[in-house]
Amino acid sequence: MTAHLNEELSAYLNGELAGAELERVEAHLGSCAQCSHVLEDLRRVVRRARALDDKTPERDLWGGIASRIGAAASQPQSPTPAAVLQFRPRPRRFSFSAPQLAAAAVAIMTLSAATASLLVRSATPTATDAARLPAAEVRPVGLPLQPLVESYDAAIADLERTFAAHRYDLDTATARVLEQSLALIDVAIAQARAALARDPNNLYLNGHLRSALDRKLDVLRRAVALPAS
Amino acid sequence: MKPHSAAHTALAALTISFGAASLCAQNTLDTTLAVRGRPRLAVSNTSGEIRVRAGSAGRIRIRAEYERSRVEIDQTVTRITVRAVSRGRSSDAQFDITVPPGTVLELSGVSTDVDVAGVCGEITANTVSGDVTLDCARGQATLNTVSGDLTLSGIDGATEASATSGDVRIRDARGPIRATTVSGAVSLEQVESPDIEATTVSGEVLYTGRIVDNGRYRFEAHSGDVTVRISGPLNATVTVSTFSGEFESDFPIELQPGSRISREWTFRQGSGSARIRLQSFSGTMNLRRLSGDREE
Repeated sequence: MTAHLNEELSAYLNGELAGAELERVEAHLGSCAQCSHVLEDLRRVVRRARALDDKTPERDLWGGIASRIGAAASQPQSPTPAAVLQFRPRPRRFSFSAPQLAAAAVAIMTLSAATASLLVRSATPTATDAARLPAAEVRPVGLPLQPLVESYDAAIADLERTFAAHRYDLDTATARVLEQSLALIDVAIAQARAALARDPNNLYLNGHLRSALDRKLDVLRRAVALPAS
Repeated sequence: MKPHSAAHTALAALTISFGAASLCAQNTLDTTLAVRGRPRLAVSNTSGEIRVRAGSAGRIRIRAEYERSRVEIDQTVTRITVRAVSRGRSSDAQFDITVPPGTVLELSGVSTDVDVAGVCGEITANTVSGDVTLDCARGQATLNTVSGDLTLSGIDGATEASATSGDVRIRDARGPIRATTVSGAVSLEQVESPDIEATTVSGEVLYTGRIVDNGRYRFEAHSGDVTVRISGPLNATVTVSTFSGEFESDFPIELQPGSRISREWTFRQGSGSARIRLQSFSGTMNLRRLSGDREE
């Protein structure tokens, strides 16, 4: 069997191959389960990335949900045992775009910067790095979150630099999967920050942002620790 | 094959290296090592597969087919280490190993699938792009992958399973569970555990099982849906949190005074002793009775 596909997989996924190169890659994929598996993983990540939105929500559905809960809560005398309070699914308010990942990354960075500036505008900057983000610093959900978020941002920036230097030691397909997964987390962080900008005292949103930041730190830490291919 | 003497290994570490006669030729290895008690086996591979099954007590049999690589085996009194050392970009090694039941396993690989069944000991398995399949573990099971899937069953002990783009599937498990992925799904079925945390970003979370009294449960997604199907009685305080998601419940909801804070609300079922947190920023959360279960 010939060597496994690396760069070619990404190019193939992006439709950048043609002619003999395309035939060679397709022939290899037809006979190599491992490369086919990696390709399917990449497709899945791209598909899921496209299912995420990078826009600020246009309309808040919470009012409708809350009124239905409130209506039920306002009648405590007659909660029949069989009563089921249903929140029926309705179309998501996010109109999902399918941007190219690069463009999405730029949008994510822009949105993150804008919402982060809203979130941390009154905070005092603190310098830190990944190694100096002790577990004890992860406090229970509570406000204000700004200094903690800044610590996360600094730690993440350090790890991103390390990963950028390390990524070329990794198998290309693996590096691509990691980058796309990090882009997904960036979308989640950006959306949480955008929501917090509108509702800064929301405990769930503060916790959700911290959870997303934790997730990104975790993925980056794992990424920089991966063995070179 | 006659096992190597345990007496030798009690005095000094034994190192065996199996090289390739030709880089391109496929080589085979079949060796058996004598071990005592509950041994510890570490296997690392770059590309290929690590397959481990339970055999008889007192011996570890290592069979391998490998090319563009060599295999090194180190044995000390307490630990056996097997390594496939790559000699080229297209190296490949297929390990088929039998170990005494209860052997502690430390398995790692890059483009390596890991398949373990019947050993029923503690295990750590790390891969980059390979899948990990585990059937039966006792004690701590820690599994990590980047783009592979993690499939676990028959777990009696603490489980930590982490993927990045892959799915995490756990079935028939007891003990604390931490299951996480980014773009994959987390599926927990036939689980009975007092302590569960299942999280993803864009995938779905599915839980099917009992809610143990006084247990702690957290099911979280960002854009994915969260579905919890409960068998048996439910005595839990449930907190649901979302930003723009939806929530559906088969259980009657009666809010407690002061239990609704912005986009988060809490309600109680039965004694309320267990704590369940359902969280999805924009997905739908479902709290369901398992089909066939009656309201209690």
